[in-house]
Amino acid sequence: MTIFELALFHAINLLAIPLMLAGVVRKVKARMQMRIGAPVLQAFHDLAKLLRKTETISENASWVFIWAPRVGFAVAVILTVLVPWAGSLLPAAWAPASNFVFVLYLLALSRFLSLLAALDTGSAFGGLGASREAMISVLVEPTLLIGLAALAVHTGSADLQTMFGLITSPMVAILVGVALLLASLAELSRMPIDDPTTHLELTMVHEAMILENSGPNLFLIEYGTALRMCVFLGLSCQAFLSAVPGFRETPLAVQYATGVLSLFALGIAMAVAEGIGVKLKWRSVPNFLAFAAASSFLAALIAAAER
Amino acid sequence: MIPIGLLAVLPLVVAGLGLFPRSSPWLPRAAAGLMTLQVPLVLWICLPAFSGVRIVWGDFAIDGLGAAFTCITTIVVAAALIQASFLLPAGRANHPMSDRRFCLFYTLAGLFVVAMYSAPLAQNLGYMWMALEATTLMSAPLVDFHRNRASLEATWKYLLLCSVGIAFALFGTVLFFAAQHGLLQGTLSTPGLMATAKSLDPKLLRVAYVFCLLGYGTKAGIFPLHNWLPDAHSEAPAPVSAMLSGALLNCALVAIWRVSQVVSAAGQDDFVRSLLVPAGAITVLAAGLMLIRQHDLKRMWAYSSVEHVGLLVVAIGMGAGPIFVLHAFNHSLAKTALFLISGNILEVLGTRSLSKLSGILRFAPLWGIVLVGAGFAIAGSPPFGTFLSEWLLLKTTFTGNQVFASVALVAGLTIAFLGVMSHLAGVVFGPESDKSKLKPVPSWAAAPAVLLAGSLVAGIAVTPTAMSFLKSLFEAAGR
Amino acid sequence: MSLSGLDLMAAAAAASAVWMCGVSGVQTQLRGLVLQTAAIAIVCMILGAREHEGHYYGLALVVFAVKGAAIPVFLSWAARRLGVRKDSGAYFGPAIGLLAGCAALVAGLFIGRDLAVPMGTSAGAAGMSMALVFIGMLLMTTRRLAISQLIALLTLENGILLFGLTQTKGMPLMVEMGAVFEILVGVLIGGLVIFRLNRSFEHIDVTNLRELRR
Repeated sequence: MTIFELALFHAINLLAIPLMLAGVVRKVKARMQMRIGAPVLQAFHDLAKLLRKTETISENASWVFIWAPRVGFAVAVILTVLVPWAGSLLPAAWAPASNFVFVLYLLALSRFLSLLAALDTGSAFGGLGASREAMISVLVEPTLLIGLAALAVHTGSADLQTMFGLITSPMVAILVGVALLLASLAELSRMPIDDPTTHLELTMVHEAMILENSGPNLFLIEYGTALRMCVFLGLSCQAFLSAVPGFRETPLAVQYATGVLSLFALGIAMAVAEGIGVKLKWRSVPNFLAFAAASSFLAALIAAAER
Repeated sequence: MIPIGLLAVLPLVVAGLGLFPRSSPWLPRAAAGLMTLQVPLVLWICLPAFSGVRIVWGDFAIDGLGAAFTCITTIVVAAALIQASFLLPAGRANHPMSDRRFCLFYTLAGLFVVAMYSAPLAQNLGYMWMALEATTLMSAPLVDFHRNRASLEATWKYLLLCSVGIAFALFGTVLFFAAQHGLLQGTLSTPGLMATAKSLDPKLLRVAYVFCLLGYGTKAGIFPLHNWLPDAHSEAPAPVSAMLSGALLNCALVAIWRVSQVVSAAGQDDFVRSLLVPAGAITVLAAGLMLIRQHDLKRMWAYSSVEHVGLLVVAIGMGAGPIFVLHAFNHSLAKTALFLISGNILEVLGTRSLSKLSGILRFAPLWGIVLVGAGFAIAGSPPFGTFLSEWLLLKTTFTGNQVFASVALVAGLTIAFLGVMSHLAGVVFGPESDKSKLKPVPSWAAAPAVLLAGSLVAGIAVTPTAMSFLKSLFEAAGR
Repeated sequence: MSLSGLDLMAAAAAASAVWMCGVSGVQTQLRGLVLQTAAIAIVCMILGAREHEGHYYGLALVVFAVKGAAIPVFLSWAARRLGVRKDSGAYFGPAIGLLAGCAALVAGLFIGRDLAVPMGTSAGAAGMSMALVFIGMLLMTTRRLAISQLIALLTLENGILLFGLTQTKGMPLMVEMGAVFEILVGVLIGGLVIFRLNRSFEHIDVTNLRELRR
């Protein structure tokens, strides 16, 4: 794979796929609700509109409020490049940069800054959303860590780029995929943890944190969310695809196409599930996330047992 | 050749009669009569087994041990049903209940008795297990006869804990079968297992034994698996308590004896002894200590049952078959008498509480004498049979170098003796409590008195002939 | 971890038992019980196909009909009659319960590895059956409702049945059938007692049964 081809793939990954995915998900959800819904490319128009708008910043906000979205966006872009969510798209020499602990720390950094930004304006809803997001992250981080560590133990490599290519046990792959999927739903603030389209502030988790943002900062946040959706859902897809025997022997372009298609399929499935299901009572969120934790724990067990 | 199935005929007749609610006026007396007839019948059927002949019928066989326990069970059940023919109709006058519920007692009792016969006579670990599970299932509704809150709670605990225990025993049985993986053809029959015992996998055999002990030990009431026993035995009506304590515990102990025999035949009797003797000794000590703190008459006797189970478990652990049978016999007689008399007291005076009962001797002299006698018997004092069997057991543990066990046994027996005597003194002596509204009926003490006399005879008449007779039960085919 | 059909079904039984630890609805737990029993019945049929013996199929049919259909239907009807829907644990909620179930699974796998019979059909299945036994014990001690304790007892018996099926050859059929039918009678009697409990106490929460002390 030449550098030019890799750069092309990354450009498509960064520019085209995230917003398309967001658009498709929104369209399917609308159809599930018997609405026509916005056009699939609406996300592009919305974000372009946001770039042109003036930003309104509360008087009580500090530099954290302004800089947190920027750092968060930077992290999201780095993750989109480093994490093999559509297949291993980096030169082999760059693989150590995708160490799973490093990736998780980057996620934690962006989450930390977004929490601070939510608290920064001093509004009640920001604090509410921040505390809930913090609780969810307490439950999700161990799941992600143990799940990816299970894969690392299983494959003998700690780099995400090489890890997904070396999985040999379908059971481990499926269990890690399930864990990643459930944890992604929590991380991305999708149903059943948090309804992204709710307008009732008391039920919000993620939306409450970004209530105060507007203009270009909101553009950065929304785009970053779309990028993270690609990364997380794509990673779960890759885990599931690794369970298919013989998948990793196909040419890279086929793997990439299959990865992207399965990502869209997963997004559509998620949208359908959101249309059918209901949001969990807040007290039941730990019960839901316990399934993710149990799944990653079992994957670690199997990986360790096979060593 | 007398088929063993004849044993089950009369109890099944009782069970069948219980299906007709119209029979409720005469059913108690009829059942008592039938079970009294069963006593000579059982003695006649088991007679060959006493002289060493093994009567086989499919997977069931009457060997010496089975014959002894079948006779004990029959005597206990006969006495219990005789007393039930007095107590249950009298209780019905105070607490009205439907005919169907009343007759259901006899149906369940009949089936319970058949299950209790099957357990010692089964020559197959699997059938023995099924018989013991059947006893749990048949006796649980019997415990709940009075249908008040306390007896319901006791029933639930009994049903659940004993079902879990029996499930563990099933696991042990499966492991016994699995331990034969080196052999061509596995079997669960006890003689077959004992014949091939030396070629069984030792590790699996040990694990199997531990699980069977956990399971059958729950059914028998070994500490700390005895939690259900005081509740179930105290809340059940008196005849049922007598049957549970006097007959069912023996069945569970026979099961423990059979699996211990298999494991000992494989050369691991040290393992058996190291498990059973401490367990039994701790049970005796714990039961003695808990007995002192009781406030309820029947609960006190239930803890005394736990204590005697501990003694019997030590006997099994030491491999002393004759002492096991002798003590089981004495305990069953004395315990049945105790529970039946306590049932009388409860029925007439309306309370089981030790603080509220007093002056039984003045109120009903015959009852008082029987109660005192039976109390002495259960506490293990001469001239009753329990003294001799306990003394023989202690002799065995002392000569077997079981220091801790001997000390614990002596301590436990002493504490229990003191506890029983002090509680009993408060109940029997002293001024009459003014709850005595009804006149006591002397004939109600007939069955317990007969049992007590039996215990007395057993205490006096343990001669060398008797001991050699007991030994012969074990020497003949099939221990 | 080998993926022979037998191991897969045993793993499915253990997985559904772990899942049962994490749900708090009574009807959902009964669905987990049905899945478990179905997996064990399939194991029985696979063994029948392997050994070419007809009685395994009969046993599978009986196990599924009684423990997989009749008993769960009865318990489901009883739960509806009693009006019980949720059983949060007695000491901890479903989240920690699920993790405890995973711990029980691990414990079962370790102990099963020691207990596996060399001539048995599968060593992995021994671990799975011990896991079922441990999860049954866990459920029995940490649930409130009497009906959940019955479900836990059934899980325990399923584990023992699976162990007997996969680790022994030619276990007498009478004993296995007898075990299944006796658990049926046990569940019926247990259900009867639960109905009486509900009538007397107005609830079936066993942690609140405190009439008898000492």
